[in-house]
Amino acid sequence: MSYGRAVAAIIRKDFQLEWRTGEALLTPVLLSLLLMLVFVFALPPSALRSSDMFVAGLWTAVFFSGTVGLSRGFGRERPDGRLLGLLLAPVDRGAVFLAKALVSFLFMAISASATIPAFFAVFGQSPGAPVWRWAAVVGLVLLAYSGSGTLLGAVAAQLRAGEVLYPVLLFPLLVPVVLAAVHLTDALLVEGGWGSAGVWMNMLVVYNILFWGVPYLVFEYVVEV
Amino acid sequence: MLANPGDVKLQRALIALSAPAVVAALYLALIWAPDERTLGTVQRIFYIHVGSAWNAYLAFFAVFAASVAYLTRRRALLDAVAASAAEIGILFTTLTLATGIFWARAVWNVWWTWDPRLTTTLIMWFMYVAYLLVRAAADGEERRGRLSAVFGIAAFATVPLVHFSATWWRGMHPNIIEIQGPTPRIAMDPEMIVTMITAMVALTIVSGGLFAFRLGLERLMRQADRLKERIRLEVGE
Repeated sequence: MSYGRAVAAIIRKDFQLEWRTGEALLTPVLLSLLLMLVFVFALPPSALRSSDMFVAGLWTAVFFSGTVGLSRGFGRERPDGRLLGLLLAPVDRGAVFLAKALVSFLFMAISASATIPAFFAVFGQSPGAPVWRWAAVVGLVLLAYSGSGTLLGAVAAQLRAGEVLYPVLLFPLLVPVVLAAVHLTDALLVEGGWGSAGVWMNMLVVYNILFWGVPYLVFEYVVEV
Repeated sequence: MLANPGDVKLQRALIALSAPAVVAALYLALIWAPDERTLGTVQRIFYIHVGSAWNAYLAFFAVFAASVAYLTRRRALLDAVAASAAEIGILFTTLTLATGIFWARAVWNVWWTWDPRLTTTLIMWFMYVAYLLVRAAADGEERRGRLSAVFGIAAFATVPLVHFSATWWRGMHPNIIEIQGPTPRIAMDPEMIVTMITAMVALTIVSGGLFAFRLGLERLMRQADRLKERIRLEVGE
């Protein structure tokens, strides 16, 4: 089986499973909307119109709800020795990582396209920048998140109570992504572009190279059987 | 893998050496070094602070190097080195944070501020506590070694990025050593530099002693596990 076909087959399998269960796509959307409600209840009404609160609430919800979907990525392969089956397939282990990370990215992108408009509506903000700029920022943030999240998801899937540990393992590594996300969206809202926050764009690119490159290289050791 | 008697000698030597080294460092730091012009006597905490921070970075680098080596060579000793170094690193990171907090209270009049170095140090602390959690939650020596090595590599690789992002975010930590031009410039009195280096050396001896001790313990623990396993097999439950 060629490399590309192996990646496509795993992606197709996960989408099919998701279509039938809805656990990695629906749950994060619901959780982020609930987190939005918590945020709204926790804030005084006057703060709801501020762009700072919008940025804080949006990324808190995206990052926290993301762990639910991401931990399912390899959690899904846990019962019945499915991971073993996947690894017995005669394909490069890197292809397994690539496919799993892409699935996580696509799931998060779909969830985000449902929750971000809801945040705009509730916090009464207007995008302030063209949609493609928003898509570029959110896309790079979610790519960075899914790269490191998939690596740690594969680690956590092999630990006792891995799902509980997962966010504790992941968030310290995500700090640069959170900071970049907050600064870039702030710049989008205020300046309509990432002009003054360009350095954060570079940070996201470097983070992406690191967290798609390193797992790709060490993945063989992560899922050894 | 038997606990090697050389280890015990090394442990004793390092611990015997650390007592006079620490006394000397404390004498220099608390009595011999001059008062800082504006900060006064509270600046003396700096010597312990820098010595601890240096040892924390050294230990975390050891975790990283041992993790890379473990994944390529698969020697149980390398995993034991990483496990021991991570604990030493957390200890010295905690000391760095604690001394920094007292210094900040006296000089900046706040216990904590989100300066890049403070932020980086705190995140680093969380990362290596998470590293210990990975170790505690992994079943089986081989799996524990492999997964914690992967995490140890990913964590260390992220530290520079965390530091850069924290620098772009906010900055107020003093920069004593600036690298500009061919020679680094150290904005301190020569006596203070001598004291700083002595404190760094003394704390490195302490951390080396603790590390040798911890590594010996780790090897004994693994030896005990093997013996238990052998008894279980021979008795046949």
